[in-house]
Amino acid sequence: MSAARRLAFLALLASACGDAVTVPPPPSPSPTPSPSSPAPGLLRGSYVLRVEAAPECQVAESGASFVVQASPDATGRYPGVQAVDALPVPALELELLDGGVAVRGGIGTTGGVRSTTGTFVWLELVASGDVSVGSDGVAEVLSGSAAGFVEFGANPNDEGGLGTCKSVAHAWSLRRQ
Amino acid sequence: MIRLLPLALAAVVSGQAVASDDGSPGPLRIRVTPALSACGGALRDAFGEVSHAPVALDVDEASGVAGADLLIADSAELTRILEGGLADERTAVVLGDVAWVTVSPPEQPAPSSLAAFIAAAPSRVAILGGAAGREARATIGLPPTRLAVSRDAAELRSARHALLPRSLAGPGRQVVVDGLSPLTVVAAPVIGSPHPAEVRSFLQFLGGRAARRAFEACGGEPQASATRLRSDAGYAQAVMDWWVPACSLAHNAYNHPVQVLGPPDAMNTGGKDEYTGMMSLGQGGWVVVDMGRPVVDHPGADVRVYQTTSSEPVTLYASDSPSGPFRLVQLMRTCGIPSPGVFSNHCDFDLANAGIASARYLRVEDGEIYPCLAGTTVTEGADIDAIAALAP
Repeated sequence: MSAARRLAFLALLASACGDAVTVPPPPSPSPTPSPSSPAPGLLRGSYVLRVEAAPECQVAESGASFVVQASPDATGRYPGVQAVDALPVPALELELLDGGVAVRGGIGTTGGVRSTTGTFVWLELVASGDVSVGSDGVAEVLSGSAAGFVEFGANPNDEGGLGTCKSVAHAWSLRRQ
Repeated sequence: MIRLLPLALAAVVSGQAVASDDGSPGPLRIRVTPALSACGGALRDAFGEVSHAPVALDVDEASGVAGADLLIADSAELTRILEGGLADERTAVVLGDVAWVTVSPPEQPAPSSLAAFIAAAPSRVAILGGAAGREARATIGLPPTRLAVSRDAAELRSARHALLPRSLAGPGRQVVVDGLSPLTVVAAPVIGSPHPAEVRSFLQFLGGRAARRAFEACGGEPQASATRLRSDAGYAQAVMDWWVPACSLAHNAYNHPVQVLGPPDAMNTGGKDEYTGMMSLGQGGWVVVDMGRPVVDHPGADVRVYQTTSSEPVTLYASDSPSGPFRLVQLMRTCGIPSPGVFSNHCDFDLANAGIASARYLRVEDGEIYPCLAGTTVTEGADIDAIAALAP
């Protein structure tokens, strides 16, 4: 991506991340990606998705984790990253606009999805977060914010039985497994 | 499109059971979701009185159509069924709304608010499970230890303290809850039903007075009593930007953002996935539009989004600049209010929710967030027909 296009893209991503928060101006373009300004497409491979319900949520579980496989997709209008729990038909899917330094998009489930601890979770979230790249070159989202519904249940037919919460203050992360 | 049957249309129903077009034996099979089981029973009985036609009624989730000729459900429960082409959206009928009520023992004073109701509830509060109850469960703000989440009509009806659609409310004191969107009750015929004549007869019956009385008896409010809609004062003029995930772009058929401009004009042209005039946003996609001039905050709703299929949720953001920052106006608003004279449904937004006096640029975002790869249609995500500024 050219420096000019990259700058325009960062502005686009910043504009998409509003929610009553003043978005800082995009960083100065750099011809060489560095750990502080990763390029799109670095989120790939096996990750643990962690979703934390907002602090005000009255739910039985504070959060839930899932193993997902991420892969970049540059065929759209803007670069993206897709992460799923299974293929060919996932029950949990992330579709994120990948701006390199940050991502933003939807996290959704088709129904109750079993977390790594056995709780079933329903998600309808719009999530955003900064991308960090470690010295090993691995890209992660260490701490992001999310808005929407998080529900917990004891089984696939227990939607909301362990709590339902709609909030703009959920949190999420995507860390290398 | 979901038809709004004129309530003055008298039902013309034969006094005898109608033979199936293909001669398939058996009664008309109606499936009603737990939230509306009482309405299903009332409508079955009323239909039986005028038609003497046998009707089999089963209470179950609207997760499939096997064994059913017609579904009665909240529009939010029918999203996957309608969008997936399992039931016919063009001939579906909106019966009306069912409000959410708190239920308290009759000896207690009527709560002045949901907070007052919660404060007066000594122990557990019964509340509806499933998709139809999601917004209510999120709104009540009680820990799961204080909620009895159920889809069992008898269990919910017997609760002393409950937050329920009126159709499920027991004999206690009922108070309508402001701020919770009512259920929108839809009767949707199953495509490929072996009993098309019986289905047609029942849909015709739904336009008559007997059906209206039955619906009112189960707690419903027929559409004729709905508040008169405010008028549109202008429409989106230009697309400033948009994004739909590559997966959704590849699977959806309606990806052109210019379709959201101008007045509502979306149509179903004759079958599953056959539409014109709308843009499907896919999983979490969005479109930014220029309204041509600032939309000003007035008392009540200021912006209307026309959404074509079912009641897929929509999130709205607003800004004075096409590049933002955008402020959230409302998150994941169910978007399925019927629009008389217009094919698409709609939902309204109040700029005051964002604390802003005016905004020229609006960002409309999918709020369904349904996994792209699991989608079975070419219209995944909220389907945006038009974006209107409302007259004060």
